[in-house]
Amino acid sequence: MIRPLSKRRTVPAVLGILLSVGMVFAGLAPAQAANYLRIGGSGSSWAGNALQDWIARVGAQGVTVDYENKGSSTGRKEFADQMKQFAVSEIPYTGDTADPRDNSMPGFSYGMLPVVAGGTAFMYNLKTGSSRMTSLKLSQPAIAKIFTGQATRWNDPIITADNPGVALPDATINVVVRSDGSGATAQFTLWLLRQFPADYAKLCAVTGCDPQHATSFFPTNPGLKNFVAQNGSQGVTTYTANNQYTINYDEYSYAQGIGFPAAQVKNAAGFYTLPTEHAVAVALTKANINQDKGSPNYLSQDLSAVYGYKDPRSYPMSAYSYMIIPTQTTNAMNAAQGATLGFFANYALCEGQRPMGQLGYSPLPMNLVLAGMEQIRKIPGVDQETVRKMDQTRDSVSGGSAPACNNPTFKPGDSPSANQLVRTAPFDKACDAACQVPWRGAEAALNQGPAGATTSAGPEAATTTAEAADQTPGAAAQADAAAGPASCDADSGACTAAGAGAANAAGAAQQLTPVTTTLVSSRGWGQPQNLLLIIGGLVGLLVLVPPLAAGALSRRARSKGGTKA
Amino acid sequence: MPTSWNIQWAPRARQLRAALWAPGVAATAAAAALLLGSLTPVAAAPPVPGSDWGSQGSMVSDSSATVTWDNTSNAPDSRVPRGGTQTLRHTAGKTYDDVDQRLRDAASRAFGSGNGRGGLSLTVSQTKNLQNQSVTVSFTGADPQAGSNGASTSYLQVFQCWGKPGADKKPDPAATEPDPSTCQFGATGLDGDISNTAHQRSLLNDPLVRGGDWEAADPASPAMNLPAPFAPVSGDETRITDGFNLSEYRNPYFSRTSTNEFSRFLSSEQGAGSRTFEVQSGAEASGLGCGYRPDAPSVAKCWLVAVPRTAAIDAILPAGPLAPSLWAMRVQVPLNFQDVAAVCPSDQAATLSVGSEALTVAMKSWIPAVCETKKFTLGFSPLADLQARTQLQQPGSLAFTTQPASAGIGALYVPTALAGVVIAMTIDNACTAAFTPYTLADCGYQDKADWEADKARSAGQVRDLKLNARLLAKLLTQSYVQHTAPASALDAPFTKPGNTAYGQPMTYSIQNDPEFRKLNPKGLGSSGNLNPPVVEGLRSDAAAAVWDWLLNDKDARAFLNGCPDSSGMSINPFYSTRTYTECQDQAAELDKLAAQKISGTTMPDGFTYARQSYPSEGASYPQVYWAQRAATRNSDGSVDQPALTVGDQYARVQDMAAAAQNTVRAQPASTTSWCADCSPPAYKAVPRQGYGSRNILSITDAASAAKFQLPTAQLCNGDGSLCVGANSKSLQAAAAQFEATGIPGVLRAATVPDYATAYPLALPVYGAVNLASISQSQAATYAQLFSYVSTEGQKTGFSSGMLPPGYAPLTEPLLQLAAAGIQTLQGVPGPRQPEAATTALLPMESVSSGNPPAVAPLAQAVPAAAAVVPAAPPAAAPVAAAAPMPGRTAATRSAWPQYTLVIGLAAALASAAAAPLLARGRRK
Repeated sequence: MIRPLSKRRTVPAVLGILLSVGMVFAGLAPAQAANYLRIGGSGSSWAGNALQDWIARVGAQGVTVDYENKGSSTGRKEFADQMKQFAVSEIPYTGDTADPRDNSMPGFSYGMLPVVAGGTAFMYNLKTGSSRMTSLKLSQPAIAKIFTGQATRWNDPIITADNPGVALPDATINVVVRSDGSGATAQFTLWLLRQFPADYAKLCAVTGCDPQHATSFFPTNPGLKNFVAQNGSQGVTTYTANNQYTINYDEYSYAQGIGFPAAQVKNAAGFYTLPTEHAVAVALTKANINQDKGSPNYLSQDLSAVYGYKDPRSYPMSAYSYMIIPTQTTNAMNAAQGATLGFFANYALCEGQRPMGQLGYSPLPMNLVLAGMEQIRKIPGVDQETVRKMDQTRDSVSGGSAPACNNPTFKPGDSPSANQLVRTAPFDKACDAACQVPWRGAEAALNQGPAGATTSAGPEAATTTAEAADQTPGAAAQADAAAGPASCDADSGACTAAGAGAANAAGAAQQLTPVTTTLVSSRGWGQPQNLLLIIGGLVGLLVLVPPLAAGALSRRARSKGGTKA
Repeated sequence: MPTSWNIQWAPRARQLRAALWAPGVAATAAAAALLLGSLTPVAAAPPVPGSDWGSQGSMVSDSSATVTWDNTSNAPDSRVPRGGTQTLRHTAGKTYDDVDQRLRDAASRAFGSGNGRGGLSLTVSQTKNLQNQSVTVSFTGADPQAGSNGASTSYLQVFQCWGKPGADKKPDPAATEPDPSTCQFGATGLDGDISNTAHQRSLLNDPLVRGGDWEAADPASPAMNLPAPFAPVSGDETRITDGFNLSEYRNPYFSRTSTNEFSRFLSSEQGAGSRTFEVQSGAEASGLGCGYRPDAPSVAKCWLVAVPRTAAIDAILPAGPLAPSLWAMRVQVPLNFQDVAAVCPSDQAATLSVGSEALTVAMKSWIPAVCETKKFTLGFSPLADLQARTQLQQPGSLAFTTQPASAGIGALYVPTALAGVVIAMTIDNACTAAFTPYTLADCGYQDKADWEADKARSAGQVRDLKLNARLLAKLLTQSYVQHTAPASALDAPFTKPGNTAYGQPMTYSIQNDPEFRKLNPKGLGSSGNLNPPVVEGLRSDAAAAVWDWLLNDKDARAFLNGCPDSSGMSINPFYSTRTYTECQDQAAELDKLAAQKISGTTMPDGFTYARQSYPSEGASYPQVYWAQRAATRNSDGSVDQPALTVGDQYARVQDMAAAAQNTVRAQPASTTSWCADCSPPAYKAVPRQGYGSRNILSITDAASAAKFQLPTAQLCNGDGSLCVGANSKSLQAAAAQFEATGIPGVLRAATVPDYATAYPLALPVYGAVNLASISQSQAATYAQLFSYVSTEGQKTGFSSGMLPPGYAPLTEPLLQLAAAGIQTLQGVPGPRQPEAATTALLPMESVSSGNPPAVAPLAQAVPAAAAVVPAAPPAAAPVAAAAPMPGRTAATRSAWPQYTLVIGLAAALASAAAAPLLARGRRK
């Protein structure tokens, strides 16, 4: 009885196997994650809240990943020094966005993949009378003047111009910057350098920084009187929350975690926006993604065209954050650790994107998710299971079917370059139907990058290909702002009254975007179709198995009877 | 990837589970499991202790084990013979008798039963049903072998090993001792020194290695300077030349940040010690694989090994503890792990939830069990409660919070856990370290017997700290001289010790505070600093609960308002509201002094003085940047070291879990250590405090504290007559006294705490669901979750799926609320509107909506009553009615097809099962 399986046992056993397979496919059965080695990384605190979320969630999968928010500079250094398996940073090691003071370079081959998008928010602490002010509006020139020490009073005309009717205090602006080397600082000073080179030059004249280069270390030495430097995102956030008249820059999630307002920033179209997942997604359709697969900076971002993008919904200080991964085994990482890193990175790109909006970030568009997954394939030791998942994602995107990671930016059947967060991003009340027209339609606002739109088909196609913006950074965006179809000028503030007035009038009413609703399943093959197929198969089994089993059993019974006799 | 073998000396439960899949039974059982998905797992874990967590920090278990160096009454698998019967592995068959005579004598002298102290005896507080957790490792009876300065030189090196590879390199289930190559040691622990060969895997000059396989494995290497290789449980070959002992980060299996080893667990002068040891399962220590899992190399039984050493031994052989001659001196305790919980497939779309960090520890336990029993993946992202509440405006979202969202949201609140906020501590008790002529006077003992009793109980740490609300207010407001850094007496003269120019001088430290001494007559036994508590930056309801407690306490409130306590101590004026509400008769005089103190202080550039108000509207724990240490400048005027602010001195940590982590690691949250060699030079985190002089307080949640077995402060009433610590009972007593909030179904801690029984900082955590926007399938899913959480999830224990230590089971009234909530969810009718996908898109707030996040006014009109199901599609969701929700429609939520699948499968199975019967019937 205990010896080889009799046929009588085979049938149910096979069914049991089929059943368990079915359960797995239906996503019902608990399973074990592979036995992944523990790995660790360090870097960006801008993206730190996102990393913490992923780590907690892969922890629930039984996979242990450590991460330290030490700032991008430290992260890149520890990665280069082969102390950690991965780094997270907003800027690459090389190129014009790199900081020359970060002089550690990996002595091995590596790659970058975007892991999350977000907006650098300007959290502030202001009271008018006894109540906290929550509706501060700032133009980009005002931000440039504040953070280069030229506008030092809250009632400076450049600030009051955007806040008509608001009694801004006659107090010194306490500017809070990061003291540690950070990608947030690098991206912010890069924005200054590109958009307001004269202001950046003035800052450098006072502090001795290099006016030709952005920096990861905010220049305050030998001391801008009204500046204070604090350590890490936590440090600048705590300082700002506890001190009046302060303003800082860091990822939006930090302001949200402490319940503080962030300034509404006037975009090139003249509308004031916050770094919501939608506004960030809109802005980053203009991120020019490095598509040179041979470059170590493949997939890195050039945000020149983002700053001046004239979609009324755009948040200009939007950026991607990157994971830096080894593409060969190193002293820090063997193949087994590579398997963990592949699992973790794929988790971040796929399931990990879903709650990003709730945390204060913006999920990656599908084309970058796919490009990132191609990078993951280069990690030595990435295992079959992870590859299978990535294949599944790729196929579901190209086949137009779910799940495609359930990424909220993606609609099955649509182009991976079309970000649903962009499609559904609401317009300001003041942006009427005519104002909205250029930003609507199937071809509007496609993401750039691999498998994405190579040229923007939006209304700015003529003026703002990223390359053009690249060559004449500041000027391009500004010329753009003047020439574009939208109603306001980014710098002159000419439309302020209109924008602000309309905004004030808007009240509680919210303008919703009447986007045509498309059934998921109405385009292409989807999960329901798969399920129907499986069910069909099972019904077939239902019909076929009993007679077959009965036949088998009766044969067996006959032969058994034969031996007995 | 790892090979697929595993070990099969499984406990019965596992065999049972394996048997289920045997042919014949398999299909039926699986079908049953499918159809009755809500059944509890077949193999229920045995009842486990874990409910006795409390302010002492330690937890008893029914599986503590004590072993002695001389093997008297050691269990068979803890026996390490000190003689020829102890064969040493990797030495070509040598035994204990081959160890250098001097080493054997030195060890026997220090640790044998003839050492005059009874001999080394080591106790591990829990040895069965382990997972990733803390256990207490303590020892007594060692000879401290005092050095020339009188300090003890005896110490233990403690680490975890997975066992012994058999001939096939797979774990040998019959092993009665671990193999040194399987030990996680050499990355240098928190107390280690990377440059010390004794803290490495070094085999330095151990003659026993000669002729053994370790030497043979790498003949090219200088034979006397080998590191012990590490044999991971996967059976992978690791070459000695991989440099396993030299650079921590080149070892793929463990590193300095991940290891749990003690490099130098120093004995007290009494020959004893006690520490919290982090037991690691395969998830934390992948090279060890402790905790059986069917799909990966793993073992159910690992080992804790302690190698005792002295200065005399190190002088003879300064190698690491894996060197055979030193390994021979070890004591060992088997660690039996619970099976690793199954997890949901990582590519299954999770049901997302956000919210209270006080739930983090419980969620870690519940999520795998919810997957196993309810068949869905729950994703939980801890967020500030404040932020979580705003998420409730997203359709269909699930948020966990303590305080209710505004009534307009019309959320349903289901009690999920009874948590607590605690003041956790790691404070080494100098009093119990040694009995000196001054001990009785300094530490308040009646006699030496009293001291002995305290020492035995506290195991070297302060475990009975008592605080009242005013003392905590003092600690949170920089009101002791010791806490006024980085102010210097030059810049802030009122902080100068003994300065009477501003009235009564500031009290120097909490230990000089008569109020503290009255509550804690034994003091802290240390003259050292006691920093302000490490606190989080997140705006949590836990922090709000702390401030509610302070402000509802008349003494603490009076102190914050500027009124002095009975001994005349008053608040640091920068933290004062200066309203003097409780001491109006002295208001003018007090305010004059406060104004003098403020005007006499050199405040930092950019600092604007403003009176404080409580609770702070801006920060979880307000911090006033009233003082700084000025920047130091180079001769050319450029800044050398930038100014040091209050925020550098007392930095906030991310969340309560981080605060607990800082406490157990004795890591002050200060970035004040100037690193001139850094590029560029910068302030960095200060080093951890050394064992023996640790003193860290933090405000964290009871579960995070219990996870590390941290002692927590008892909270006392104003006159100190009643004190209560956080434990399961006192949290439940507090719950019995919860008061109603304005929102139905939501309760809060009593305004006037009953210190006799009820812990004042009890924190109910609710799962909140926006009824107005929820779909039927979401409601069903949430009902499943809550039904798990309110039943199996409330059973206390260490096992996965249970309620971990640090929570109290929900009380009956809370359970009833939960049941009502579940019923409401089960009664939610079908979608009342085109259902938004889980990631439903909300309109971005328009410019006008202002900030902080204002969101479209969804569903204002929904009845808030907890157990009331809106009978009809409410006219709520006006926005949605006006314009269809953009984006995807219900992505054909797969509930139905899945059920169809299940039913189809079940039918197929039923017919398959029936076929033989039919066949049999026909045969007759």
